[in-house]
Amino acid sequence: MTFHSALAAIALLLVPLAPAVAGPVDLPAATTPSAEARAGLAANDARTPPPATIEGRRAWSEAVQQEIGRPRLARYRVAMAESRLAGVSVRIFTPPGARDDGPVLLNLHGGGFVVDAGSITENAALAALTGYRIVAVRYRLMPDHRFPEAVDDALAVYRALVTRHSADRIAVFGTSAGAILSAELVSRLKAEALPLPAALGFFSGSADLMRPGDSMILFGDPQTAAALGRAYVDDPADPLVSPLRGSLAGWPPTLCLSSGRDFLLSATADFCRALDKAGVSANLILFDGLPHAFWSYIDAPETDAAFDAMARFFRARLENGT
Amino acid sequence: MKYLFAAAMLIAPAMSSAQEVAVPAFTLPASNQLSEAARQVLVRMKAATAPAEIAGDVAKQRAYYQSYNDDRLAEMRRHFDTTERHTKLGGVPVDIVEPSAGIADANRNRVLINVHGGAFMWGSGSGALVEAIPIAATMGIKVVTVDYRLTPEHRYPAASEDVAAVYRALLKDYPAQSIGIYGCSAGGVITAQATAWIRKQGLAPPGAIGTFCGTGASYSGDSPYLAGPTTGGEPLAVPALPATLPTPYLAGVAAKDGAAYPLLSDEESRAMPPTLLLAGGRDFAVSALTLAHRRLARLGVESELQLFDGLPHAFFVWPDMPESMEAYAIIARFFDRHLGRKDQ
Repeated sequence: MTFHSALAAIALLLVPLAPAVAGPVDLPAATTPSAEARAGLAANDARTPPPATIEGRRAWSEAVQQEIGRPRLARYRVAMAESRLAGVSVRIFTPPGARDDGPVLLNLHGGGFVVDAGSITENAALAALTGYRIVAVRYRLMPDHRFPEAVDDALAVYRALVTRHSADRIAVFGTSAGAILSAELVSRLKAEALPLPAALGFFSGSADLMRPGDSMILFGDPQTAAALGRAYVDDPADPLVSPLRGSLAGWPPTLCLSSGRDFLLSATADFCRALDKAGVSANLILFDGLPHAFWSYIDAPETDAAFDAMARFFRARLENGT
Repeated sequence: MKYLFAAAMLIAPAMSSAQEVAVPAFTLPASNQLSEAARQVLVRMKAATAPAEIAGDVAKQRAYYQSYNDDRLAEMRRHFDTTERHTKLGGVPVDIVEPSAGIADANRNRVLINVHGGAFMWGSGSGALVEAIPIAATMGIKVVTVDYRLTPEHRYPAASEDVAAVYRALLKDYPAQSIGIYGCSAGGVITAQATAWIRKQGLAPPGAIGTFCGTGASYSGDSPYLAGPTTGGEPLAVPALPATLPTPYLAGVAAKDGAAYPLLSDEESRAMPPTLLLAGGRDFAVSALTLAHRRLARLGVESELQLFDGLPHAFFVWPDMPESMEAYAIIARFFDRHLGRKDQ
């Protein structure tokens, strides 16, 4: 088969789908990721693996946060302060020119509910690109704590923020486990009839722990993900855990962002459609060929583009009420 | 402490993505996001696969897909009640589809143009109605589906000219912002191309467009490689994807031709009206759609992307599943949000 006819064979047919299929495939490096992204992924792969103990993993993860996060803080001239709010440990990010009465973003970091894999790297660029202060909640982690304790911590910080900012000047966002928690926080706020944030950033997450879809099988490990889910919560069907399974009426406008080789891609896209169906403003942005939550651990033009997209969304949703 | 391994997976990529990856063979079940009805439709899709031996024989392919589309049309008629009228608009043959229940009040001054799919080579007649009927009925709107000139008899920009001629004729009765254009597969490509062509003619842009399962860009990214194996087909045995779409319709047209590949051009993309991109997660074209969507978003064009996990190229020509009904509803809601209203 010639070069073009092989492609045409795929392109020109309506290719039907078998219920279950098997077959080897040579997957080349995707055509879209930049050279910088590929170098960043190679450097990430070359990292010394984390130790086996929980304490060791947390220290390893914090070292990566500092290693990648410090240069980002310097690049964007963003100040980071360790603090406590409502009794919860937080990191506060202040960009140049941030106004005390300006909008504020509440971040819930990724890290599989077990470590902090993002409280610096998810926030440095975004604080500068929005011009908003970001409060990153360092919520209680598994295995000592499980659902709903991390959501309780997020709720306590959110309540503290709404005493000083009107809810329509607050957005909530997170990556990976943090995206799951962000959606759970909104679900909790709805259940308790508290004021909802103006926007939700749902970056590589899941709002239905029972429907991981194709991407978990293609790019993840369904068994270990299921084990993690069981460790996290007893009832994954509870809408406070999996908000997609409850009413989404009145849900805040949501940006869904994921990548083509992300094991949470299917779940992220699923939630975006569910929101659209419920009449909620929701949009999905995908970065082909890149793995889970890449923006939190590689520096590349795609990472800049991801933070640009997040910042555009938050500014569009939070600039009105000045 | 098994979840610790999962936690590690949630921190770092599950597989190296920096270089070429040899993906081992494995069994992929149907997506657990799919409805039971969708799983049954997948079995019927499998049974309706075009026989490999007709590949390259246009006459046989046209006959095969005529029969395929006749079957889909019969299914559509079980779900939707519409009337159709074959006529000419701007000298171009069209079918005008209207809901039997009548056009919704809000849509009296609005119209949609459908550009059918079919590899630029077939799809007129039944195939066009299969794409027009569900949207006309779901949204309660008039849909004009264009019987544009096909390849290999005709080449680019024949289809763009035909869609633009129909658009120009509709401008006599409808304001530009109340006209939407949409299409699937080759129709998604032509929808984007025709929108650029309309601009080239100095006409006002349509109010919104939808490019589904294909858009005005070359194939790119992972999906052309993944779609074969994940839909029961063959792996794509090429080391790199071509810069242009592999079809006789666009033979000899360069990727830098902005009217032919508008979603590869910042200048053309910036001029796009609000755009809906929609596809199945196992569609070979889905990666190209995600890239086009990011280009539009970066340029400040209102665009929306919706993906249906576990479903293949052009899945919504099969109406017997809630996922297809959901796709029609998304398309209807999108055009309702963006097209001009009668009081404007």
